[in-house]
Amino acid sequence: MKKIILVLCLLVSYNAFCQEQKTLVVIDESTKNEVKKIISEEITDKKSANLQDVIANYFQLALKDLGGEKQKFELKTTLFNLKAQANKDLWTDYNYEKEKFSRNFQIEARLSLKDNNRINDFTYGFGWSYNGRNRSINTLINSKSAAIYENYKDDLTNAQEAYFYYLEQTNDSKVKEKRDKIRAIKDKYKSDENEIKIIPLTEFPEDFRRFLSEKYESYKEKFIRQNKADIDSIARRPYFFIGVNNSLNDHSKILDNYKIQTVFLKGVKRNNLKMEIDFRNSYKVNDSVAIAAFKRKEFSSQLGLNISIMTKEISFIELKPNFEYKRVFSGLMEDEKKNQFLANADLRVRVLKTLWVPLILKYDIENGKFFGFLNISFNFEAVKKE
Amino acid sequence: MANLTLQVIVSGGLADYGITYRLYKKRQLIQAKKYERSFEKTFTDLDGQYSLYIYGTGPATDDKKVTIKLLFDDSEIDLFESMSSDNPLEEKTYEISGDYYFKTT
Repeated sequence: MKKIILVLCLLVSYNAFCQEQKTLVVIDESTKNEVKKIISEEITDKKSANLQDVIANYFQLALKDLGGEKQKFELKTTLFNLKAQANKDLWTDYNYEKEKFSRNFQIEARLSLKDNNRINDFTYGFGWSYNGRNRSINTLINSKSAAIYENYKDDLTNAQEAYFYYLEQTNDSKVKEKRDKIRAIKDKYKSDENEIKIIPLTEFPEDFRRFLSEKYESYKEKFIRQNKADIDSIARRPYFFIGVNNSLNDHSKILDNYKIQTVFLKGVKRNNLKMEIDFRNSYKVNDSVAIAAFKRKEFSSQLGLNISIMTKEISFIELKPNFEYKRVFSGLMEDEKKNQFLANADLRVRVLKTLWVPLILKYDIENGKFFGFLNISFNFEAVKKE
Repeated sequence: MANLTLQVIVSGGLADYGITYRLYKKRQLIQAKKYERSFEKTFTDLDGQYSLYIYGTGPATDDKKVTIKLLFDDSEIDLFESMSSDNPLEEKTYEISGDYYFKTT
């Protein structure tokens, strides 16, 4: 395995020298971040010519981070993203839909170096998911809100056509100005965010309003309510993930440290609460020579219900009561039991818009006592994701 | 009599609410249809002055893009460019719209 990592590093270096002209000079932290952004954009840019360029892009990303203070790189993408780099036509809807496997096949890799440029840790993994919540495929086209949207657009388009025809027939002196005004209003309400903004009646000039139907003013409220319900319904659909990752360092062999995990989520409908069944299983193997040579093999299964208490669109408290079963096959720690049954409660409180504080409570059912103590910690990863 | 082809290409996923075209002649709606995917529609035997409206949404993703293109023979059809949307038109917003006005020559 050392050889594989060595080859990877050589390849990274080789690509760096070969593409020196394309490499941006890193001056300070802000420039470094900008470089990462540019390279990330290159990765998602659909105009690259072929697969070799794609690989070069990824190696460049690796190199940039390896050159940074922390001397590490992380790569997380899907097989579809890699294929689409070479063939931009895959983004077209008919092709995109067919690429079911590659869109859901995830690839990740992390590499960190020691100060002497030796490999500290190399982790790679693969995963596949079934994602019923993916909005790129699960559309609202046959939803109830689509019917309201169709009525709204029919009404607006009929009014626009009638108004323009009227302006022409009456030889209105400001015909161009008035037509441009209507188009400008329509453009103003087109959004980059994935939401439809119904144009309020008052936004239109008075002489245009009389061409709209009497129902026009009722569309907005109806649509917003129904659209939210339709989106929530998609967000409750099942999600399943199965993945494996393998971690290597300069002392370990290929299957010394690995993890296989599955995650299943399914939303449950409740008015003011957002609830989700959360079922996770994992099998971990760890090998360590740091303190004493041992190999720990552990299976864990966790079933819980994640409850979000919402104010408008944002949840401010999330509670996940769950039961956990853990079996340690080998590498037991001192005073540790082979089989463990735990009742857990994970509580996350939003203290700021981007700041969650998790409190984790574990209770050992067999011994009737708390496992450890109330664990208060700061979840930097959650902050990063927000 | 003239022909005109409307081509709509959706990329970055599936169009969330689909894409509709509506063709009018002197205020009267003569053809309309909603599509779930990219499409191509040829209007044949056109004669007179028309308005063609295309609207709907692109995919609900960050990579959304909808391209609208009208293909016609300049000697047969006169597109009123100052009143119409660009041709071709590339929309990267969620809601999309293209308004075209033309007459046969």
